[in-house]
Amino acid sequence: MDRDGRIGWWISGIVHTGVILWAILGGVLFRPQPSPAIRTTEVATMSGAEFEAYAAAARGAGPVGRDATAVATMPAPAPEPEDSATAPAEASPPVAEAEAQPLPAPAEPEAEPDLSDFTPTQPVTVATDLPRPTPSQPEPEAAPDAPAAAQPPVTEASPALPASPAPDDAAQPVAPRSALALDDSPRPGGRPEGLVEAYEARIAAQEAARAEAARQAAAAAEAARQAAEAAAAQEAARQEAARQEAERAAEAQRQAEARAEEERQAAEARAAEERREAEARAQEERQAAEERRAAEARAEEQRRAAEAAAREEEERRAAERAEAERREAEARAEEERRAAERAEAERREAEARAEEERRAAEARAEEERRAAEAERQRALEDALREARQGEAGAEGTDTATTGTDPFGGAQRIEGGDGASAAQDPLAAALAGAMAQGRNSESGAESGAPAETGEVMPLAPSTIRPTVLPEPATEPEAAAAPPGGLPMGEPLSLSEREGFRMALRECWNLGALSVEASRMTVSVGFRMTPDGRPDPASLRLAGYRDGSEGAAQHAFEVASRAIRMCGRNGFPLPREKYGRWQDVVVDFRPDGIGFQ
Amino acid sequence: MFRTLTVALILGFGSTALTALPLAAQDGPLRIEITDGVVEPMAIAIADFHGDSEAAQQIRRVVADDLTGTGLFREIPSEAMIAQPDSFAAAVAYEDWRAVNAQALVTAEVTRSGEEISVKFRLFDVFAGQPLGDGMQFDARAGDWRRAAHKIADQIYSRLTGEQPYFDSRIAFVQETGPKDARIKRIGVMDYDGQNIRWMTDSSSLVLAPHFSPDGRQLLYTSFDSGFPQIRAMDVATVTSRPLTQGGDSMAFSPRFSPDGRWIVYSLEQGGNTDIWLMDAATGAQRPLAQSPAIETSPSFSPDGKRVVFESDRSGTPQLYIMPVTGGEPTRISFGEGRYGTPAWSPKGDMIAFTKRLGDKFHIGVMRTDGSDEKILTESFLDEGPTWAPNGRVVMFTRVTPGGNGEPRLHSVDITGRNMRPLKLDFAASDPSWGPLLR
Repeated sequence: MDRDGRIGWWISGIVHTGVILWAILGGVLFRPQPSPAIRTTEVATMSGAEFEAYAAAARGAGPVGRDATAVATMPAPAPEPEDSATAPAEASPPVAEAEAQPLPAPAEPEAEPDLSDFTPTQPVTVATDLPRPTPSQPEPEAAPDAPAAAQPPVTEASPALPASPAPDDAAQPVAPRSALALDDSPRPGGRPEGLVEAYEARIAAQEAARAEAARQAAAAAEAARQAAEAAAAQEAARQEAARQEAERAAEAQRQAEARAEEERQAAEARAAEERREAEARAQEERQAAEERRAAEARAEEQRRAAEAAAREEEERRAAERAEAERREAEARAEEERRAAERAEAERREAEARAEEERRAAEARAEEERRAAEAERQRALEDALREARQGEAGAEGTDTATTGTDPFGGAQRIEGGDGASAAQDPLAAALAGAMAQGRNSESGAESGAPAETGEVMPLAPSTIRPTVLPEPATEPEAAAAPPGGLPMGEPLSLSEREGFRMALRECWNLGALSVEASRMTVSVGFRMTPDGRPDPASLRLAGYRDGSEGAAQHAFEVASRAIRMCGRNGFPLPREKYGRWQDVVVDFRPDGIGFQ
Repeated sequence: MFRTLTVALILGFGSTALTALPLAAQDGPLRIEITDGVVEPMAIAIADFHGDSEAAQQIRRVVADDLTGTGLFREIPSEAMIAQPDSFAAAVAYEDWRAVNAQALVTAEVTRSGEEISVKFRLFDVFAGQPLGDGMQFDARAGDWRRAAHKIADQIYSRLTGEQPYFDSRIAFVQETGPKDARIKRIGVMDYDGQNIRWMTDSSSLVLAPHFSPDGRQLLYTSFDSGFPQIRAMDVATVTSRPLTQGGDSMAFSPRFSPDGRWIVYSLEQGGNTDIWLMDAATGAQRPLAQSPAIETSPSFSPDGKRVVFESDRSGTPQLYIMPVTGGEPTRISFGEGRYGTPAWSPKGDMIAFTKRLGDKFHIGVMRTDGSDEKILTESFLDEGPTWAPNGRVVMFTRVTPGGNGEPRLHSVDITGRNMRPLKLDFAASDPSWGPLLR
C-alpha cells in the first residue's frame, strides 16, 4: 500500500471513530437539563364586609364606620422589584407599623393559625456577581421564596432589598377611633356564631385548593418530566439511530475500502504478474539480443580475425617485401661497404706501406741521429778527456747543470775548468735530453693509483654515470610544405568532433605524472594538406596549473599522441585545408590522475 | 497562438545563429579541446642489449621488469620486432618501430672489463623520430649489475613519466616465521624488487617496525631485548646497533628520523599514558612534543621537517593530527567515518598515507595534508602500515590474510589506485620501510 493509501486509511479511521464516540457520548453530555418545577402560591383575599366583621369582633362593637375606614387606610407599600417574583406583594402579610397603637388585648387570645400544611423550603441559591460576604459580617438572610403567607414579616434584616422610605411622623396613621367606641367597654361575651367554623372552612377550602394546585403542579411537573424524559429518550433513540446509521455507513465504507484494497491488490498482482511477464519477455529478448550480439560479435570477431589475418598476411608480405628490399639494399650496401672496405684496405695497405717506409726512413734517420749523437758523445768525451789531461788544475772546477734527477737533485755534468756549458752547448743539450727522458719515464710511472679498499656489503658503491655523445641519425622524410589551398567553408561540428575523437584515441594518460595529469597544456602545430602533422612545427603554445617541468612532460605526451594518430592523416576535408592547416589543441585531462 | 509561434521561431533562429557564429567567425588557427584520453600502458620496445651476452640479457630483463612492474608500460616482445639494431651506434630505423606501434625504444650495450661493468643506453621517441634525452653510460662493479640495471630503468621511467625515479632503492622489513602465537621476527634489507636480501638481526629477540634514516645509512627499530620495547639504531654498513632509550619501566617505540637526520620522534609510554617525544639524535636529549591523557603514537615528519603528523584518540576514536615540531596545539585532519592510524607523510609533501578501519575492513588511503581529497586505495581483511616510495608515487604496505594460517605479505599500489600487486617474496614479511634513492 502506498503512502496516499495509508493517509486515507488514517483519516477515515479517525473520522469514523469520532462519529461513533459522538453517537455514544453525545446524548449523555449534551442532553437538556430538566427544568425546575413551577412553584405556585395560593393567594387569599378578604372582602370589606369580612374585614369589618373581623374588626368589629375584635373591638367587640359594631361595624367600622366609613370615616374610620378612610382614616385607617394603610400606607402604600414600596414598589417591589420586578424580579422578586418569589415574594408577591399581595401574598405578603401587612408590615407591622412601628408606631401603631397597641390594640387592646382580646379577652381570649386568638388561636394560632394552623400551619400544619406548610412545609418550609430552603432558600434557593442564585447566581450573583455581588461580592460574597465575609464570615465576620452577619450573614444576610436570603429572601424567602416560600409562600409569602407563611413567611415571617420582612425586617431590616433583608439588606438586599431597598429599604422602604421611612414614614413621616405627621403621616403616622392615627388609630381611628369611632365615636361609638368605648374605651373601657366590656369584652364581648363570645365569638359570633359560626365565625370560627366559617374561618376554618374557608381555610380548609383554601388548603384544599392549595393542595389541589400543588397536586396539579406536581402533576404538571410530572407530566413535564415525563415529557422531558420522553424527549430525552426520543433524542437518545435518534442519536442511537444516528450512531447505528454511522456505524453502518462506516462498515459499508470499510467494506468498500476493503473491496477497493482487494481490487487494488489484485490489480497490483496482475500488474506485477504482467511486469514479470514483461521482464521475462524482455529478459528473453535481451538474451536473444545478447546471443544475437554475441553471434554478431563472434562473426565480427571472425571477420576481424580474418581481416587481421589478411592484413597480417599482407603486412607480412609487405614486410617480407620490405625485408627483401631491405636485405637487398643491405646486400647492396654490404657490397658497397665491402668495396669501400676493400678500397679502405687498399688505402690502408698503401698507408701502411707508406707508414712502413716512413718508419724505415725515421729509423734510418734515428739511427743516423744516434750515430751522430754517439759521435758527438765520443767527441765530447774526447774533449773532456783532453781537457782533463791537458789543462787539469788551471782555473778550478767548472760545472754544467743540465737538469734534475727524479729525486730533485741536480744532475750535473762536470767538466774541467774553462769547459762551461756556454763553452760546450752540446754537452749541455745532451744532459738536458737525458734529464727529459728520465722525467718522461717518471711521469709514466706516476699514473692514477688504482682504487683500493673493499666496501661493506651493504654500503652502496658509486655507479658513475657518463653522458654519451649524440647518436647517429637517419634522415626522416621532410614534411610536405603546406599547399596554397583556399580557406573553404568553416569546419562543421561533425568534422571538428571527428578530428577530436581521432586525436583522443592516442592521448595516453596512463604514463602522465600526477602533476602533469592535473594541468592543461596547449599544443600548436601545422598540418600538411593530406592531414598529417608537421613534426617540426609542434610547439608548446601554453600551459596552466602546473610547473614548467610537468608542462614539458605533458607536452611530450601530447605531441606523441598527435604524431601517432596523425601518421596516416587526420580525417579532415581537404577542400577546407585553409581552415585547419594551423591547429592548437588544448589537452585538459579532467578526472584523470586519481580514480 | 500566432504570437507564440512567432516567438518560438525567433528564438530558434537566434539560437541557431549564435551556435553557428563561432564557426563562421574562425580567425586564426583551428582550436579544439580534448578532456579525455585513454589510460593504458605505454608500449615500449627494449631491443636486445649488445655486448656481453649473459650480463646483457640479465640487465635487459631487470630493466624490462622494472618498467612493466609499474603498470605504466607494456613491453613489446622481441619476436614482434621487425629488426634489431645492428649495433649500439647504428642509426635507428624508426619506421620499423612505428610499424609495431612502439612509442619508445631502448637500446643498450654492456661491456665488461675484469670486475668492472659498463652499461650504456639510449632512449628514443619513436614517433618523434629523435632521441629522448641524452644517452648515458653507467660504470659499476660487476657485482652491482642489478643496480646498474635499476639506474637505467630509473632514467627511462623518469623521462617517460615525468616522475622522480625509485627503482634503485632499498626496503627494510620484518620477516615473520612460526605460528601466530609464537612468531619469530628478524629485520632484513632488500632491493625494492625483493632481491639481494641481507639480514640485519637474528631471531633471538622480538623486533618491530624498522625505519630508514634519510641517507639510508641507519635503521631505527623497536627491540624487546630488555623485555620492554626500546628503540635501537643500527648502522647498515657495519650491522651494529646501539640503544637509544633505556627506560626500565617505560616503553619507547615507533621511531622516525627527521628529514635532516638530526631529530628522532617516537612514542613513549609512561604510567599507562603514551605521548609523542622528540630526541636529539646526536646528544640523546629528549623532550615531550605532544602530551595529553589520550594515546598519541605513530609520528611522522613532514619533508620540510617543520611539522609532525601523528595518531591520537583524544577525540574518542583514533584520528590523525598535525602539529608544529616547535610545539603548539594539534590540528585534527581526519574527519571521515572509521578509525585512522599509522600516518606517513609523502616525500613530496603533498599527501599523507594512512591506515583506515571502517567496519570490519581495513583500508590504505591517501589524503591531502589538510585532510581533503581522501582517496581509499585498498580494502581487505587487514591492510596496514603504509610507506612511501622515494618519488611519492607508490605506496607499500602489509596485507594480512585471514584465518588461522593467515600471514602478512608486502604489497604495493600506485596512488592513482591502479596497479596493486604483491612483492615477490617466498616468506611472510611485514612492516616495510622504503629507504631513499641510492647514489
